[in-house]
Amino acid sequence: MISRSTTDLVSPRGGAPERRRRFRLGRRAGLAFWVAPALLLVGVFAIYPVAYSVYISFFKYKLTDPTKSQTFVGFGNYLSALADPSFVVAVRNSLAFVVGAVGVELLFGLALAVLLNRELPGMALVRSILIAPLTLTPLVVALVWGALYNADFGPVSYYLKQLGFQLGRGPVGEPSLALASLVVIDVWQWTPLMALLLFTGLRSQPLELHDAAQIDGASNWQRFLHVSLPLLRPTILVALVIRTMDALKLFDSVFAITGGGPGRATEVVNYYIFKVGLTYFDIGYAAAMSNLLLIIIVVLSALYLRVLRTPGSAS
Amino acid sequence: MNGIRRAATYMVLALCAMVLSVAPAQKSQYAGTNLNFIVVSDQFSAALEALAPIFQEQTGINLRVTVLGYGELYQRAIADFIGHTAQADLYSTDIVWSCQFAENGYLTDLASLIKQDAAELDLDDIPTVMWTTGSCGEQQIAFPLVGYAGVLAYNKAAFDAAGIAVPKTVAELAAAAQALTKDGKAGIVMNGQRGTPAAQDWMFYMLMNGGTILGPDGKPALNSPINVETLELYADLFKYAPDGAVSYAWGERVTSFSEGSSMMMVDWSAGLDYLREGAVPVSGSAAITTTPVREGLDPVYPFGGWGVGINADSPSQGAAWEFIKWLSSPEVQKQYVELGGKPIRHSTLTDPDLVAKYPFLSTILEVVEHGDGDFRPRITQYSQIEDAVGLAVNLVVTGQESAQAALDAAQATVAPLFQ
Repeated sequence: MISRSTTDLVSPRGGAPERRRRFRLGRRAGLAFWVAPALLLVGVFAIYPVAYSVYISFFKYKLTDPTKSQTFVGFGNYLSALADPSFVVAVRNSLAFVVGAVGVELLFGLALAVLLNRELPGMALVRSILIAPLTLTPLVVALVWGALYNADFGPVSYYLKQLGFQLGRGPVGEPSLALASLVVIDVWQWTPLMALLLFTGLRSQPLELHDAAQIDGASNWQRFLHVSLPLLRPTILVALVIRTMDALKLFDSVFAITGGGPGRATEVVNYYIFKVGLTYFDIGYAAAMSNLLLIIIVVLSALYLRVLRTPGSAS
Repeated sequence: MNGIRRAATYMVLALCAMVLSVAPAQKSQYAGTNLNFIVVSDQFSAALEALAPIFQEQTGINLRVTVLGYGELYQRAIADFIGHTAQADLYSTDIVWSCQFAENGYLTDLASLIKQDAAELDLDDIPTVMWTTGSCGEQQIAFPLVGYAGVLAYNKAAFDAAGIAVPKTVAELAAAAQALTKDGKAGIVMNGQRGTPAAQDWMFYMLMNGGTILGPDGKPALNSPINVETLELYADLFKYAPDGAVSYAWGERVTSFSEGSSMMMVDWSAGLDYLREGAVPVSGSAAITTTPVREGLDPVYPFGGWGVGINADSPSQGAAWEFIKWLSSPEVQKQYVELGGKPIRHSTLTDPDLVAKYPFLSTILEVVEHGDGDFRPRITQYSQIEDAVGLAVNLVVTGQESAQAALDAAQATVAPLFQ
């Protein structure tokens, strides 16, 4: 007969609660072990640079200054940026670009996604072709479009002129057309991404809801408006956040085609920061502007979350 | 006994011969040293790549030439200098970086080395203006690597057909541009793209018209009456330029001229591909001459180019200096020009063989003799000045602002940098 005292049953080495506690501790240590490399990477490549950028933004610090001095200026760089006409214009242009590019991409992307969602012949091929612009380097795309837009020997300008459009000094030479011309490039390259994201959203919707709406006599348009679109909100939110962040960082086409011109028509934040940081090497000021750009992105993302949050969702 | 001694002697001699035949010839005291030379992507960089194995063979010093784009080179160099990482032993340095690099001590001051090897370098053979590619006050932080002349490229056939002479003055240039604008062809082509392209191109015309970026006090004088007048003239010339010229940088400008769409342009002597037989549609009709000057002014021509400097952090200072001396020697200079480089020596510019093969060298010589390497000020604030001028020029040529207002704004932007 085996007999064990209560104490024995509770724990040979401290009892069940202690065992559970040890188990939990062990489990946590195991999890921490596996998560540590990822945390280390995020810390080194994301948190540290942002923290250093915030730190350096409080200093007047020019890399090419022979005195190599770093003078603490508090929020001086931030105040200078807000009073800098070039930065203000760049922010305005960036926001206009985001509204134009991301707005058109959302509309075209949605239309394409609906089309892709239909079981039409050849759709698999269309989906493959749609990926092609996404695989190209933005700088290469910009150089090609720069040649296409050339007012004197570019085919886009030529055919638009043939169709009777008065382009004057060309799509990127006229202040009123230049930013819109860069929007066209962005739309060409990134609409497929929007379309594919929304397509996956449409594919993941439960068919029962569509069937029920059909039985209730809803038309195609009503089903799209009252079933598909509301269910697509989380996907639209993700797509908008990704594209907005990306569009706010526009650089390649400005760098390769316009240089920020004509005048200040295409001067955008990222390009201006590049100039200040890597041409003038005014690192403190460039860091302050980068942080302001980060704030703009965070605010816009929060705005999207607020507007597009699914009713009743925890987020 | 004698036989044994003789046999032993032969054996020792044979052994010596074997050792000598196997060991590499010690061609330089720095043989075996590795040098990394970072060069801007330009026509002369291909010539340097071609010369590297020859240098290696002659000296035993290993030379690796790394070619980078302009912006990339500048950023890489600054990062290397500030981090003291000595990624490269030698850097090609733009003429306008001279004082910025000198003030920061990024490159070794070559003045004492040049003085020490003056006879070997034959300094009298190097025109004065060439030294501006790397001088700042008493310091010489880079040795001349390539000298560029600002020249007027023109379509000779078009001038002959129109029966007009090649312009010698700024007024004649404007008149010729107007006269040659016909039958869908543009009389002249300029850079209008905002930033360095527009700024640098306008500065050619500023010099031609007698203007300067800095006043006599060394402070910016961007909105001086002569500069305002030059900008008005420059904008006016766009009436005779292709429609898209307001967005042009160097590539589009040269293409427009080379394709025969535009009849004139002011250009650096860096490429001159349009002078090469059969290279482009306009080959055979294209020619170059010195830039026109405002009537009554003494001829002063735009001069630019690159120097070669030794990274102050490089552990191979001696080998790097040996390379500079080798490259600048008259014999190598001749090879350098044959391979696409542009000469730094008077004797190379006047070499009968080269002049017979490249007649444009006589024009470059004339520019060099009257060249101004400071029309783009070689000061620390240059990049900001260039950006402000580039914006002003673009605003005016696109009709958004008057020359006076645009240059006033540019002046207001750069003036605080000098306080």
